[in-house]
Amino acid sequence: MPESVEEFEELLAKVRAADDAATAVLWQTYFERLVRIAARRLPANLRRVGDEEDIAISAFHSFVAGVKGDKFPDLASQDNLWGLLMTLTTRKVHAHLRRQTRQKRGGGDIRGESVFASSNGEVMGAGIGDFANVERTPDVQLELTEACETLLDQLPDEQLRQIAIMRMDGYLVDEIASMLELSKRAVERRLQLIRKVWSESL
Amino acid sequence: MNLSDLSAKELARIDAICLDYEEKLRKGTADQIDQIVKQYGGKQAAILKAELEAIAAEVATHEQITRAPFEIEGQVASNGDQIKHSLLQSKSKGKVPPDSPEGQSMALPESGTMVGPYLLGEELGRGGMGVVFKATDTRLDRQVAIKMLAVTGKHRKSLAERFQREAKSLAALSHPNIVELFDVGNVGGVPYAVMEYLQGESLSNRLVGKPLPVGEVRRLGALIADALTAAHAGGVVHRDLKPDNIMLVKRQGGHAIASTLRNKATATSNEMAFKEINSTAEQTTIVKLIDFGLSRQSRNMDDDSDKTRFGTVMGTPGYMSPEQARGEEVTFSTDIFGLGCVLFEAFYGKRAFDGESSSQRFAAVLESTPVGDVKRRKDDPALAEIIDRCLAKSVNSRPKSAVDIASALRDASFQAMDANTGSVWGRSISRRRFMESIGGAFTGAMGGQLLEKDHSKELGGIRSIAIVSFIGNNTETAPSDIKAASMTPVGTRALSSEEQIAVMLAQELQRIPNLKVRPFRPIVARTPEDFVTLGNELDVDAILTGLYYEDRRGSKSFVEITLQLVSSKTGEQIWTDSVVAEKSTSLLEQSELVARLAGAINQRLMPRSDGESSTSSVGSFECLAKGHAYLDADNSIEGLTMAKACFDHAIQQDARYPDAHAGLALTQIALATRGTDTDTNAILNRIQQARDSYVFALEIDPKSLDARFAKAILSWQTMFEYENAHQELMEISIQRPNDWRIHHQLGLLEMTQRKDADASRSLLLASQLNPQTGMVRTDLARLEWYSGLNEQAIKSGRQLLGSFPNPSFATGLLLDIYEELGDFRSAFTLLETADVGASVSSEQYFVARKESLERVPYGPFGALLNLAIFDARKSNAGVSEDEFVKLADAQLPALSMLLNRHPVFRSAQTLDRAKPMLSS
Repeated sequence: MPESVEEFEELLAKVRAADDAATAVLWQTYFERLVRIAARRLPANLRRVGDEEDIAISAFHSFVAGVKGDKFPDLASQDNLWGLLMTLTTRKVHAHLRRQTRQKRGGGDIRGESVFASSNGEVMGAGIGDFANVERTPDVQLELTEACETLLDQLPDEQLRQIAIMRMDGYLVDEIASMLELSKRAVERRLQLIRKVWSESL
Repeated sequence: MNLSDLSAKELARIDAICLDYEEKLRKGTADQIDQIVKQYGGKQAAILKAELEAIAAEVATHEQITRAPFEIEGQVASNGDQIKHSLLQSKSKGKVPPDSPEGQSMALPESGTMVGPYLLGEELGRGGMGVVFKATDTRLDRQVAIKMLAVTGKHRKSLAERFQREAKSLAALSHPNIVELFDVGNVGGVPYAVMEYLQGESLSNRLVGKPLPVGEVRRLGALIADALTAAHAGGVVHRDLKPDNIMLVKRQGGHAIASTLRNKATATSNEMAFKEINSTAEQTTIVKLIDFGLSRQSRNMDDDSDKTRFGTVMGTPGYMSPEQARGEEVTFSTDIFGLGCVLFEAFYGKRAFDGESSSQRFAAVLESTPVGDVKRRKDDPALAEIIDRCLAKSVNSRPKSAVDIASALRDASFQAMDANTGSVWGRSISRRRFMESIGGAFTGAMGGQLLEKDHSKELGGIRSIAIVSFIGNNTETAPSDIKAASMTPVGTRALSSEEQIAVMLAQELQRIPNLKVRPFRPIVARTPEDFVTLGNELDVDAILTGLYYEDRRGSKSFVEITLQLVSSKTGEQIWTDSVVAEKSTSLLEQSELVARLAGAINQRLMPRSDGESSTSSVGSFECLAKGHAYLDADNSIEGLTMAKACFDHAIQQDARYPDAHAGLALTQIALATRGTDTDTNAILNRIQQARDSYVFALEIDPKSLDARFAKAILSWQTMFEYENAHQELMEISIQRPNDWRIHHQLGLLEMTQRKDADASRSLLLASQLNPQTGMVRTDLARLEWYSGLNEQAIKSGRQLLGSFPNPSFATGLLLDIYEELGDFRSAFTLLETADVGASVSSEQYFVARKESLERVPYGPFGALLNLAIFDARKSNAGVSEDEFVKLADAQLPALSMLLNRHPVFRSAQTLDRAKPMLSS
């Protein structure tokens, strides 16, 4: 659905122009869900417990910090995982959706409603046909989720995935270190490895 | 080369080695770092080594926190309410919860029951590991204390071993100043030890935040030293000496407790102890050393149990010796260090190594040298000296034996002993005392009796300050031209110690928010007239200088630093203070001195940072400070290269020091901007490295202002995010209102954005904050020119020629203006510094100009852009499209400003390639 891609790009453009409201919308509409879904991959002892509100705020802060420096997306200037992940996922999404749009024009292969169920079976949101749902169209959401999952799967071990998710979820290096019983030094080094793996994946 | 330079594959390999090492380290089975590096390091040996060492340091600190302090000892008086008891303490602090799974209590005998011949009385204390009862020995009818171990779970074995060890150590010792062990036994599987019952309080209880009288420090110290002498003679190292473990026991009716002073001890030190007790008025108490739970027989006597495993650090943070903290072999000297800690606390009324958390205290022991109050020091300089020596980081620098210390403490006229034993204390004592005795003379040299005057009003009004070189062993005579010196940056030469100290102070003073601090310039001022001249030149309220003397004692260098604050109105000294410390630890004593200075001028000293931006490595901070001295706007490219080396070095010493990474980023930007590189790849590399550096700094400390500053500069200069960068720079400038660099950068950006009025304000502010920097004032003149004020710009430029000893920037700007105006005669005259007659052809001029381009660039734009300006002028056409694309591709930082404002780029503004780079 081309509108959603354009809408998404417009939002990104506003975020790049330091529009705080747009950042919040981008978060709520697309990325909050992403980090929530990713967080399900963590074992129970590593998940955040406590007030839902606090959790959301912490992850949001981490997101804002990540995208704020990214008004001019460029791999070299990625400050943290969010900035990097956002650039990478959105690039993949764009590439994919454009391809799909071209195919759609030619009446090509179009996915059915079933693809909107996430990997663990939960229906993530309405599909194209569901006009009763007032949320933004989920095409982009789904693509983002897939792109994010792909990136996580590229990481060579489970602990790296956990670190990546926790970092995006707003955990500080210290907290990650103590929860994983690792030195802070190791967490920092592994974060660097994550960045490298992802940067080189393009 | 650091981690971020590696490819994912290489990094993954290093990561795997490090993870393996860390896991083994926690289990205590890790190999030596050097061995691992040798085996797996390959090309990345240096990186791997640094990484492994950082892990080892972190894990060692962590282990320490989780393991210590184990406190098992309990010796308590019947009037127990006054008594600080280690068992009760650990209970109340909840460090070892009695019901924790690993510390579960076993069923213990109750009061009133018999344990062997002992009738258990009241419980004196209880903790996670055991209980101490008061008891009566029914055979001898005397009071005793019984300590019982009552721990199950996985720690039981090691604690039982410790219990055994304590008993074994104590049994070997017999001394009036060491708690006496009477008996050991076992009841229902519970081991117990029967000990002398002590009535009194612990030294830590006595010391709550206040010092003891000097005589009492010496007296009690000598008694502790006696106890150590006996322990060491018996082959026992206590390993956990601290005020908690020193009991002050009251003498009863003029006699020490009967059991205590039964004449078991034979050494002469014992006689001395008696003599001491009988000869001083104050001794109602004597010392009992307790808690040998961490003690061990020295290595050669008990070889089997003594394999010190790396990482098992025992002791109490804040009192343990550096070698103990590093998990190295522990010798008698460790107790001497502990004694130093105790004496320090008793003499100065504060802990030698303090910190909010045990990890901070742990780090302090390794990194810092405690500095006592100077005034207190004067109460007994010889005693202060003994304490300093005991606290030496290196085992070899400490007094060799407790006997030496005991006799030194008893000898009130310390120099007599110095003469007798000669080498033990070295020659420096007398020099030290000499320095102290003439302390006031320095001020006399500076300002006569002016110290008598009340300077508080002037001190309170100080809002700006300049720091000049200190005077010390290596100081040459002052240059005749103070004014010229104030305009000259450090250059590339090595900084003398006197200059380094000033540089570091300048860096530290940035932490006083309401004080404008001029960047350090290597100026030596001596007379009041010098100071008044300087004060006028730099437009400051006061000038900070001082004295710096180094002094070697044995293998160590000590420094004496005296700060002197001089009024720039009168040239008189209005405040002074001084410290003495080991040379390697200047950081700490500076922060003390700077805090005192801040207090004197009624200002607040901000904490070093929010916790992340600091470094605990002294060396790293020193390198950082030096880096900033070389990173002077007026300094040459070679000077900037020195700055880069300093920041690299700082990072080498502490890889997680955000300010050092940020400093490196700023230096790389300066080199990319102004450098002589003509290879565009080299420039791109520098910019990339600058980005990596600030990214890394922000990762460690998202608030690092220097890193944000570097990021903002690159965001407008290479990404043309003019508005965002402006907003960010404004935010930074609010937090660092007195940092001229930020206002300068704002000025350049506003100039680029054609906000000429704003730019002029920013640049003026920058130049007021740092009048010594020619670069800023040249940029002001450049702004006038860009605004169309040719005459005014030429006038300003000409003025600069006269004010700065090496005004190449100003000359470059003037040449730029004259060329643009077609006034080759004026340009040629300026270049050749001679009148060349009425007519100069442009060909003639450009030949000369080409030769001078490197020496006198048009501006700090870098070799490529200066050449581009030259080519455009010579061909009398604007910059061509091809040329421009080439420059734009190279991401030259200065291009954004030149494109937007410089006349030779006017035609390029219409090019497509230029569009995203235009500010409006």
